[in-house]
Amino acid sequence: MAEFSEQDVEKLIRLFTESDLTTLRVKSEGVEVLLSRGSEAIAAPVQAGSPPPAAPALVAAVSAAPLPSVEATPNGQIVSAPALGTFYTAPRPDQPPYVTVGDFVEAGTTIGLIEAMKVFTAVTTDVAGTLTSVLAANNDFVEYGQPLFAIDPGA
Amino acid sequence: MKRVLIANRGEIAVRIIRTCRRLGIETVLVVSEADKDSGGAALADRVVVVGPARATDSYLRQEALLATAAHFDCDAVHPGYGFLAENAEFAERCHAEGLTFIGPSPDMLRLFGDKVSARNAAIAAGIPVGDGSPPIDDLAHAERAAAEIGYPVMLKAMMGGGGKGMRIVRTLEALAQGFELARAEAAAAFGDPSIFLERWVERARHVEVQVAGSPSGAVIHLGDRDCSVQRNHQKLVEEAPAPGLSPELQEAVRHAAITLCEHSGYDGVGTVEFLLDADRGGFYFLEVNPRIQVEHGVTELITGLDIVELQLRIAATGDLGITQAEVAFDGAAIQCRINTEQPRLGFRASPGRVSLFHAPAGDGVRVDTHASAGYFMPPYYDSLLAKVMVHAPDRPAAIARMLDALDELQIEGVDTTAELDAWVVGHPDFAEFEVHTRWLDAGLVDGAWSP
Repeated sequence: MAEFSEQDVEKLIRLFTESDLTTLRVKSEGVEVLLSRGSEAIAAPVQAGSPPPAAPALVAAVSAAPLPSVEATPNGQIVSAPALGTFYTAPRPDQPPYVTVGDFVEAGTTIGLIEAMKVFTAVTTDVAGTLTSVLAANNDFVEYGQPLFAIDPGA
Repeated sequence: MKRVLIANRGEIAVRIIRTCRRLGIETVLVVSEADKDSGGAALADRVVVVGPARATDSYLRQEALLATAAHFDCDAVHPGYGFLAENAEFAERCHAEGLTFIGPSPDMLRLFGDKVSARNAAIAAGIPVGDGSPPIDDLAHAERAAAEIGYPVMLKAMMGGGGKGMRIVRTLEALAQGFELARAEAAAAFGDPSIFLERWVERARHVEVQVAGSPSGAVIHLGDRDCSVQRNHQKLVEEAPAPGLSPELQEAVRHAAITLCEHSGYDGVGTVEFLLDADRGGFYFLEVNPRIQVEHGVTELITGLDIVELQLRIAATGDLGITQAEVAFDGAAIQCRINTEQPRLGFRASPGRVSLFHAPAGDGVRVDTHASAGYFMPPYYDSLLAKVMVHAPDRPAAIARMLDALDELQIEGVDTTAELDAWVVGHPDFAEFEVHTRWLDAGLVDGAWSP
């Protein structure tokens, strides 16, 4: 699986908290997460390569989670705001928008811009597909994580 | 002041919102993605997600906070404690955007944000700073310096560090030998035999004075607190007033705090911290915290004042709205910090779902928290879950009330310091006030606490 994001770690902790496990160790490409609870001290570390039997299911659950900025909806995948600020659909007011509904976008393309106090953050898509809707208007104040675009990866 | 942006989280966000609501001031709370379900988010008039969990991308992201304040027409920013509370640049940016930064002026934040300039300010105001001697290389000078400082003294290598080249000398008779040994050690360890003398405080108490100053130069104090019960330099149990001070010493400490604030033109709510020598009675300036503090509640309990309101009033009107003569003190108050930590496992963090949360209540009991049953304590921030405070006519009654309150407190799903708090407050040393800043660490090391 790819790098752990903060959301992944939080999700792991949620799953762990709600499970009956007392210890959980997950290793992935240089990242290691170790969770323990109560007085079950991690006196003897779980051997690398042999995680507790229940762990793989949890790892699978996490790795199956969507990327933080994109989530599945009936409309396709949602690209949400990577930062708080004023949302711009075009690079400059006198220029055409980055994308319009019906356009095909490649993964990694910049499709919007967010500005807060003259600090600009590009909105990029992690999926390729057809833009099915723009969910915020140009010049809208958007919060972090607010849905901005829907993309249908099947088309 | 009609609408305030609250640039903080946790219990202090809840605390600030409560006062704003009482005063009819609207609140806009910024939250990270991890804090959308916190107690503060439930109380604020408007909640804005400013960024992901990581503080540098949310609570510390100045442009996001300023853009939010501008978008929602806030007229002031309350920074709480931690995060941007003592950041002079952020305070300046707020002012530049037409926002009132609720705190001292950027100049004050700079002055007291730097250890050297803060110390110089204290020296200029005539406040004792517990300074050491200049470098000394003969015994006669050392004897004179030691007599001036008073025994015990610490001999320290000029070039020293990490505990090396340090030697405690308790009597004049032991000084000659200690002096030669310290020089030899310094020469061997650092290639330089230079040493200096410093006062050695065997049992240091942490005593602080709550102050408030106005831009026009009025300064008052709201009494003192003791925060000597610390683990690894982190305060755990705090109380007001500081117990066991003679009236003369209490007056001297309060006077020193006022003098420093008057001398430096301190213009906001803050705390002047002192190290108090429990054996010899002297006290020394440590630092000024130019913000609201975690332990402000015990001062509120014994004065009946709302310190957040005082901050808002100074920011909005430039006036304290209260004189020293109007500040009255009543009884004793104690606060225990309930941190989500595992005291038995080296205080490892214990975040996660709080499955049960039952706060104590009743006469003289106050609990400040952002948590409730079902709250998910995120792993990204400090471990403070709740502050249990009690107020009683005197200290023994406050201790008894705290023990009852901690007994009534029920938290499940996460481990907390509650049991350790109860051990501290119920300890004979605490009752007699024989505690000092190394007392808890020593108790934890020698296994005195092992329920």
